[in-house]
Amino acid sequence: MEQPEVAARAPGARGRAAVTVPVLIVVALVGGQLPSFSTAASLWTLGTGIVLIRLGLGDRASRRAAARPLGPGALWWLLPLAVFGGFEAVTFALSAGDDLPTFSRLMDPVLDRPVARSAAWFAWSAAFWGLVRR
Amino acid sequence: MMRVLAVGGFSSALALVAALVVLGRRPGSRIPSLGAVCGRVMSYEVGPVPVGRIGLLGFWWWVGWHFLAR
Repeated sequence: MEQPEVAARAPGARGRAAVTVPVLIVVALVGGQLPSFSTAASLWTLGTGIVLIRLGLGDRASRRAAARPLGPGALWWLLPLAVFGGFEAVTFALSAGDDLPTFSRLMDPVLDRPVARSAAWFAWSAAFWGLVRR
Repeated sequence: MMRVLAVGGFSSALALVAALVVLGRRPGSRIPSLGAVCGRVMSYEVGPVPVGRIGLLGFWWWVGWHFLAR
C-alpha cells in the first residue's frame, strides 16, 4: 500500500522547502546559542511555538492529504511508546538521580553543547513544521 | 548498573521507533508511517473542536520547552 503522504506531495513542495528549510536552520542556529534556563531561550521557544501553533490551527499553511483510517498494524507504534513511558515513569518515580536517570537528565549534558543544541532545535522545529502541515 | 539499565531502556525505545520508521516506509507495509499515525491522531475532532490537532501540537511544543528552554 502506498503511503498517502508520499502520494500527496504537491508540485510546489520543492519551492516550499527552499523557503522553510533556511528559516528552520536560522531558528535552530539562534536557539542553539541560547543557554538553558535563560529568559532568551524561554522567549525563543515560546515565540516559535506560538507561531507554529497558530499556523497549525489556521488555514494559512498548506496541508497534506486527509488522513486515512489506520489498520491494526498501527498498534505496533504503541510498543516503543510503552517501553519509553515505562522507563520514564520508573526513573521519575524512583528519583534516584544519576544512578537511574530520567531521559531528560540523560540528555542534559548532551544539550549543553551548542552544536547538539542547534541540531536538537532543528529536529524539533522541523518535526513541528511537519505536524503543522498534517 | 542501574544507569546502564536506564540508558538501555531508553535506547531500545528509540531503536524501536527507528525500526518502525524503516518498516513503515517499505512498499506494501502493513505498518503505517509515523506521519500517517500523527495525521490520524490530528484528525480527531470533538464537534467543531480539533482536539487531536490541539493536543499533538501542544504536546510537541511542550517537548521543545522541556528540552530546549529549560
